[in-house]
Amino acid sequence: MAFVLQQLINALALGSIYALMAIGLAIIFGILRLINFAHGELLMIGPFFVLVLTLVGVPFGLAVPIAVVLAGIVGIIMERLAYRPLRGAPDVSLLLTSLGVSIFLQNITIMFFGGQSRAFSGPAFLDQRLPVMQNVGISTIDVVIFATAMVLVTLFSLFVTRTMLGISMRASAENLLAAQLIGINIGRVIMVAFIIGAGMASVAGILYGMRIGKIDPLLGFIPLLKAFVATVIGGFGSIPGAVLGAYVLGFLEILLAGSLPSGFTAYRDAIIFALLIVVLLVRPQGILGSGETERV
Amino acid sequence: MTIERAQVLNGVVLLALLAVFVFAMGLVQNDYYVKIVMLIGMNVILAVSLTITSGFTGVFSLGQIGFMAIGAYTSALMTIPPAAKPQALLPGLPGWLSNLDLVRSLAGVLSGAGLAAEQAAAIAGPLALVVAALAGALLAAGVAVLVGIPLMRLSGHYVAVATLGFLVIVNAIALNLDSVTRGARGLGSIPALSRIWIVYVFAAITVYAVWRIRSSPFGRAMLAQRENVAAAQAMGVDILRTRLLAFVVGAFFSATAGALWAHMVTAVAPNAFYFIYTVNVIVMIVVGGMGSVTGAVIGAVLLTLIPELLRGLEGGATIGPIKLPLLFGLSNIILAVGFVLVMIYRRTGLMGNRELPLFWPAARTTATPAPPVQAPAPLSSKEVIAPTTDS
Amino acid sequence: MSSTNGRDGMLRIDNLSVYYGGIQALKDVSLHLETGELLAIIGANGAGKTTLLRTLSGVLKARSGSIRFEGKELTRLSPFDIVALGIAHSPEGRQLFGGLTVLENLKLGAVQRTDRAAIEQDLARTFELFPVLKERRLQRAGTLSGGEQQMLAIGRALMARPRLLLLDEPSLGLAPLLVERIFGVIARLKAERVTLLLVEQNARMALNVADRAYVMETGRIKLRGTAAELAANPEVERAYLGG
Repeated sequence: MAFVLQQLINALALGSIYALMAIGLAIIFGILRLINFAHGELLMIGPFFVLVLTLVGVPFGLAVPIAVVLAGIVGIIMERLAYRPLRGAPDVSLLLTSLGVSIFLQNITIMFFGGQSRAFSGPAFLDQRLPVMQNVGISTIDVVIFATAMVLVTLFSLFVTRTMLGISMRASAENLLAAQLIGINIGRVIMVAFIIGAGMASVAGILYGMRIGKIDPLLGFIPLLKAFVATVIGGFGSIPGAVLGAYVLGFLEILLAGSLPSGFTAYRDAIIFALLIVVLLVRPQGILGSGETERV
Repeated sequence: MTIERAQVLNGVVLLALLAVFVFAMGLVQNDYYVKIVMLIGMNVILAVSLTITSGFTGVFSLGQIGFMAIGAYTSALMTIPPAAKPQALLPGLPGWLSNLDLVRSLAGVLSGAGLAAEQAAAIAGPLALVVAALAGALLAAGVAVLVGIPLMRLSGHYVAVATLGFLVIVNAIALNLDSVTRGARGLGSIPALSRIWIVYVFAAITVYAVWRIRSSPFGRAMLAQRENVAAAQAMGVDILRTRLLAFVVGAFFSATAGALWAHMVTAVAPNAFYFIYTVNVIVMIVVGGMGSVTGAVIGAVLLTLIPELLRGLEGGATIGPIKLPLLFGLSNIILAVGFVLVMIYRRTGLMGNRELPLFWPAARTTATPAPPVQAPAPLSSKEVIAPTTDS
Repeated sequence: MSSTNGRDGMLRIDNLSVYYGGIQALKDVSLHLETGELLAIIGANGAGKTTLLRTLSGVLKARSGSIRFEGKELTRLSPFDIVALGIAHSPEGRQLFGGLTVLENLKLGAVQRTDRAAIEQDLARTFELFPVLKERRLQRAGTLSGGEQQMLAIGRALMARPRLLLLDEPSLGLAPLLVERIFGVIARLKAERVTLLLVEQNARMALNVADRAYVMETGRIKLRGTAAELAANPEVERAYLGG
């Protein structure tokens, strides 16, 4: 029982990280039809910014919001320099360009920090365990991750349902042509989408870095792919679907980790991607999807 | 002079030039330059393979390097001498494979067939490489069929990520199937069987094969469905079969490149066949022109030489042509920036869809089929072409 | 809402050429529209009518020619700026935001406006014009019937309080009874002096309600005149009125 609870919290924490990534991916894809491969790097620069800031003496609590803002700026620059000039280009071009941006960001980080992992941790209290039950301790960090995600997702929800800018963003992700025709300021919507996406990704990165205790320039690659799997499972083109898919994926991963014979646990990721392929074949629109698919 | 005869003449001239080049290169002593030249040849194979897999069909596969890995590992396991792959080290290998010493076995077969010992030994090396490469390529092709049948139905974004997932799966297997691949440490002691002439024979065959396919009805079908799937279907093109063929052919040749690579570097490890190499090859064909075999060749040459030149700027130790991209970032940064600029300003690359017209104008290959004329379809929400003056 | 340039009328298009999908969809099109009138453009499928409206709204770029709206040149402007000038567009095929509610769709029509009180007024007016939308205001737009969706599309465009309203094929795919209702609404808008540019395949209904009309064929203006003139024209009768 205690074990189950622990795994449940694990799954929620993992799912939360994926959810924060997946929302950004889903919005940007919805509006621009761009799978932003560089989104993984937006996750990675979060903790690296925090690292740099704390190294120059900024207290952790201040470093985090500054890092998030910086990540948002990187997101805006990314959009302006690399993606905006390609507005209207075929989807393949956008995808390829995002690969280029991704490699660029990875290597800039390598150039400054070297390729190896570095230790990364938050304030000490996060490493402690809450003695909730006799024998099981729940990691504080996992609770923090889940709580943060819930807060951010809720705020995001309010934003896209209660503000005109947020509603415009949902509208643009649904039907870009109509959004233009009614006079939505698409440039601004895209900028906000990137800010939100980058912000959430960098938060995810900081939390993720703290959870695994180390960061490296390629930190974002696998979470990016997992976030993509999440959006596919949940329903491509659906933002709630992205969040749902993220938690489903989190649970699946923990389930697999727990139930696979020990020789196979390393294959967990491979199995997840095999699962992605299966989903794409069997139910490409995912759980909540909007039938966005093109099949041949 | 008919087009066909002009083409044949062009081919012969090119082959002659290639032979001269290879012979001249054979005289070069510097090991580093030899390896660079071989690497160019291998990248040509990879670039041309990606051209047929993705460039012609427009179906972007990011998993190509996974097939290269299959070719590399398979061929390595066949040629590594038994002393270096004992059961103790690689318990997962079937007995016959552990005991297989391909080079020596072939030498034995050849002398048994009547050749003198030295001749047999001399031929056995290249022959072993060819056999091993083919084995790897066939295995890769088989995997490509299995993977391709489900994946080739999907469209743009899905296929890209699904094939990237395939790459991750291959990487995961290489990292974890210790009993066969030795995991992260990889396999060493691969006999250095690659020679410039062997590499370029493979490259020439690859270029020729893809060129022929391009000119064939299959090639036209591929290009047609890149322009417009619906129209191509209406014209009777079997989309799935076309894409699958492109995918499998690309996988086959990518695997041969992997085998050649393994026998040049004499060691294979999972991190050599991962994301960065994938992007390198993509950059090659984008710069060269995605729909063009000539473009792929040009792109491969440029994108092999330029990083080497740039690497000199990094000031770190370069271990010959063996890339350690994770440690040195600058050349990748420059390439990434260059790539993004190409995407923004000249997306069609150097050649676009065109092939280099060879000596006789009459020998120009068939142009891309013009997309069928149709009444403009109503704009869907995806096709908006907005001016960029909004704030 | 009066035009500022009496001579040119409210909208004046000169020698407009537009390419789309590799084909020249509009060839040297010229027309003009006066404030307060209802101008109809009729023609068969593929004649270029939708291309014309989309170029007007700025989502397609003209190759050559000019579009002047109340004296201002539109061809270089973004869709955002064109809406700001007072042109609203109810697109062919509705182009609603299916996952958003009716209310959200309507509010989005007023996305550029800042006058809250007036927006509420217009919302009330839209509900009065289309009572069914009020009933279904919290429903997702994708769940509405075809006729309701068309009403929503028009309502959404009206929420911009436009000086010029572009209607693209409002009757498309609707049952005759619904078509009557939609045209009833159009007539009412006309009575309220909203300037309308109506594109329609249903020539009969269009000519009934329009002041003037143009006939388009394969990207060109073929005929022009008052609605009455065109309705009486034997060519028009034969080709478009089933006569």
